[in-house]
Amino acid sequence: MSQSLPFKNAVDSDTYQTFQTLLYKEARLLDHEDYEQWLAMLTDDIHYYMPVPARYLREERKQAIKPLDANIFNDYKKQLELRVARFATNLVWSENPQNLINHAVSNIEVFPTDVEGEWNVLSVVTVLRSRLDGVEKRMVVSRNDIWRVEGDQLKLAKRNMLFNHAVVPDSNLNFFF
Amino acid sequence: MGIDVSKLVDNKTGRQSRTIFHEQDIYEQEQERIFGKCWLFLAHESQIPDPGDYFRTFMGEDEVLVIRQKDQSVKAFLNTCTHRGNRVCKADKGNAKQFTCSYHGWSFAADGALQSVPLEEDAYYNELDKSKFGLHPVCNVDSYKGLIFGNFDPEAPTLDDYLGDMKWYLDVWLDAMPEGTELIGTTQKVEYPVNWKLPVENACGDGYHIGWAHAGVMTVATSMDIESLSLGNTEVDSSTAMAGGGMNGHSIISSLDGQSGYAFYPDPSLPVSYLEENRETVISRLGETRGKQFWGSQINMTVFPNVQMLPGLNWFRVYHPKGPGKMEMWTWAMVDKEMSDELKQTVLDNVCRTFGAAGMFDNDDGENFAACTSQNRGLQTRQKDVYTNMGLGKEYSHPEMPGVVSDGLVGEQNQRYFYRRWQEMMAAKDWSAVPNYNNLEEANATGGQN
Repeated sequence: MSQSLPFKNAVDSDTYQTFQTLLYKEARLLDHEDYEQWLAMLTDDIHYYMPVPARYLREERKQAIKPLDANIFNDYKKQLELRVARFATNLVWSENPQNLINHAVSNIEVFPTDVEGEWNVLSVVTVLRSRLDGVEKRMVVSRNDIWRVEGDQLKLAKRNMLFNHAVVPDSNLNFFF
Repeated sequence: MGIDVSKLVDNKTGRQSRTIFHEQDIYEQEQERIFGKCWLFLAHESQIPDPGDYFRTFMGEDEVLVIRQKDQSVKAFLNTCTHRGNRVCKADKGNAKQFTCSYHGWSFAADGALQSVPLEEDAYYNELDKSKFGLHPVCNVDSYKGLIFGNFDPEAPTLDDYLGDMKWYLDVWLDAMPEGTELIGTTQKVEYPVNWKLPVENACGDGYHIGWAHAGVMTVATSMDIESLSLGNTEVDSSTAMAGGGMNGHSIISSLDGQSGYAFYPDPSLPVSYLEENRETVISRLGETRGKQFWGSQINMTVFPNVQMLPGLNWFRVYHPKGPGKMEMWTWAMVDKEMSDELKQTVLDNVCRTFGAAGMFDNDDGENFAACTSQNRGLQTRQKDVYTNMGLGKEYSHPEMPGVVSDGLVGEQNQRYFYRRWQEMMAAKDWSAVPNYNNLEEANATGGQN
């Protein structure tokens, strides 16, 4: 007995599962600090962007977003590589011992775009970070990605993030979302 | 009377008791005698340009609302309803004709006056004297070249006197260019488990930690070779640097090459060409020493107790205390208004990448400050002292540069004078008991009056 649903998926289940698996893999690489492999998942023109949140009244919210807004990340490949190079020096004392981290990815939605070979992927990542002496930090970020086919790989070309914390709750963000 | 602070800090030996980073009652006295008496940064003029523009901030732990008035003056008020005490404004910033409390609907005008009260006739029988229930004003609000400050103490010196000799240095940024400065970008707020004094003393004068605490980023991020860059400002000696302290708690450290401020830019060409295009203008406004040696240099400036400005790296920062073991750090980029939008964006991005929430430099500091705070929870630990005794007795007075001066970026002179001021403010019941070091030529080259 098959019944049809009054809802059509934006992409077929294979495509959806491909991106789900990809985001899980990315999360694992970030958990394990396999940053070279993570960089290899990014296109050369990657834009990795997270503006600084602010609390405005609802009626003023739209006009409040202007150019020259501050950001937590406004990185291209060069800057992301610089951050990775910094970690690789082993001279970042706050990361030794390692602050164990988990990226839990959820709320995945996949949409085709107008561009051949590009998909728009939405997700939420909840970062759980174990700091010194049992201190736990939790941060939740919404991600709006563009993934692009390059050769036989899917690569991240754009990540716009919303950081849902008016005040950053940790003294460093020595990791990626 | 207050807590006796005479033994808690010793300027002669550079000693501090660790209790000043931990004890709740010392913290409460700081709220009264430092944050209740000093001029505190409220906002930059550029953040609230139009009538009705407001900015919500803190003076110590007191939440205040800074509002541009119809006549372009600025007023500040405690952000609390005069009826039952609720906040009257919950947004970070915006523009408003009135501020309406969400509890009972009392509504206040931009000048603080209580405008309307629901059921005024039916429930208050028109007997409420609304003129007595305006928002509580911050009694002194004044500005210096774009920076708006507030002060809770009617007996405080004027802002001009308060800044005193430090103005000579502040002008290197605030008055270098004809149009002055502006703060750009949303407020970057980070919470730290840190006593507020530790990051302040660090940026007062601690060039010592840069090579070690920031070793990782220094290894990969400094691409600018100061010595070999030809910047049109080559007659100055790039090996020299100075620290200036003792100016009523305010301080500066600066290289004196006029170009190293942009050393942490992966590509400094845009800011450096801006410097050289405008250097003659700055020299004509500020003279040779400040125009050639200071403008463009790596500079840390501190306005006591909790404001820091780093021209070159271009960040502007305020530290808001949230208890003895907690503070919130607010960071912006400050730029010259004359800069192009492209350069402003470059500066903003660099501020965020170096000293923002994910800033590659800033992310090295928090953990160190946090442990300098938390270790003092231990009863045995906090009976020990800590020291800023590097370069004791090397201070001198300079014919042109105000304050107590010593050589180099690596030193602890300014930290000592920061804690001397902390001690003086904490010991004084009122401003008449606070020493004034403005225009004191020798300003105690031996290390103050302790």
